[in-house]
Amino acid sequence: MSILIPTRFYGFDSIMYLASAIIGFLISYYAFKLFKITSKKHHFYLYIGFTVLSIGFLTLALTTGYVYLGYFTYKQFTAFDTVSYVDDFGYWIYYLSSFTAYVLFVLMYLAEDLGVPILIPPWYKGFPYFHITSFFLLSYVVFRNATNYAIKRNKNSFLVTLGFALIAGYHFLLFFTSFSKIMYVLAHLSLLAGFISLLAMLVRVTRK
Amino acid sequence: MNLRRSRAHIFVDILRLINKKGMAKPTHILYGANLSHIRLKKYLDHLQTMGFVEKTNEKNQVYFKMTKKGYEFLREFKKVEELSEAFGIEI
Repeated sequence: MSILIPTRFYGFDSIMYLASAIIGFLISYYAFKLFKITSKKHHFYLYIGFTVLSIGFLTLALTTGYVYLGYFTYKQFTAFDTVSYVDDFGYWIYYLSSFTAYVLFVLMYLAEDLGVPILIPPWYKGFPYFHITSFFLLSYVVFRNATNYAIKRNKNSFLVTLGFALIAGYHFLLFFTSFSKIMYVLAHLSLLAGFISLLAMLVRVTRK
Repeated sequence: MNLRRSRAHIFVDILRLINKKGMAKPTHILYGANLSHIRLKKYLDHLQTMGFVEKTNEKNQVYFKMTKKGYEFLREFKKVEELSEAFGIEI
């Protein structure tokens, strides 16, 4: 499956991945503090989930950034080896880490309800399936957060719901990148907006 | 929903109670935090070991008051409590 990326957008996606990674690391730092106090399993999932997700985005930011640098300098993409490009390597690390993070987010809520985590079948294979799987995993997380917002009605839970919804939107829109270049841009704007929403929540929580 | 208080929550309940009164007698903490005498002693010993509260004597009465470390812990706990609530997970 090919991805259509507007040439003018080259490099901006790397910056968005980097911003997402930084925000993700900030959330994982506070989630770690939370886990240190409570030693609860679901707080551990939140902490590890955001750490793993941020590692994925950081890898993607560095590898795509390196490839774009090669493109802007030599007008050709930088080869990692004879088989694949550097960003292909980055994408695979990112797929694996994001998938792990989303499963952990789902388990975070399931562990609370059932007391035992459930096994999710490894039916993730390759690019289009990754985004469908991620979208469905995040849909559950969004649903749980929307329920939390409906009960609590506070701004922080709204920002978390919006954040996860926009990240789910990123995966949904990426599925259509074969059909239109603008989808790639919209997807990345959705990703950045999602992490900004999570950052806004974190700022509200920590400034007190 | 789990109605049992976690260990962290009991610590925080005790600290908030002491913080509210400035200084508190063990009996006040016992009723306020809804704990048995044995459990209260265990938790207060632990809080003293961690340096969050200190024992003082005033007019032959034993009181517990918060330390600077205790205030800092309460402030940090408030932040992570809100973070946990924002994600809709119990603390």
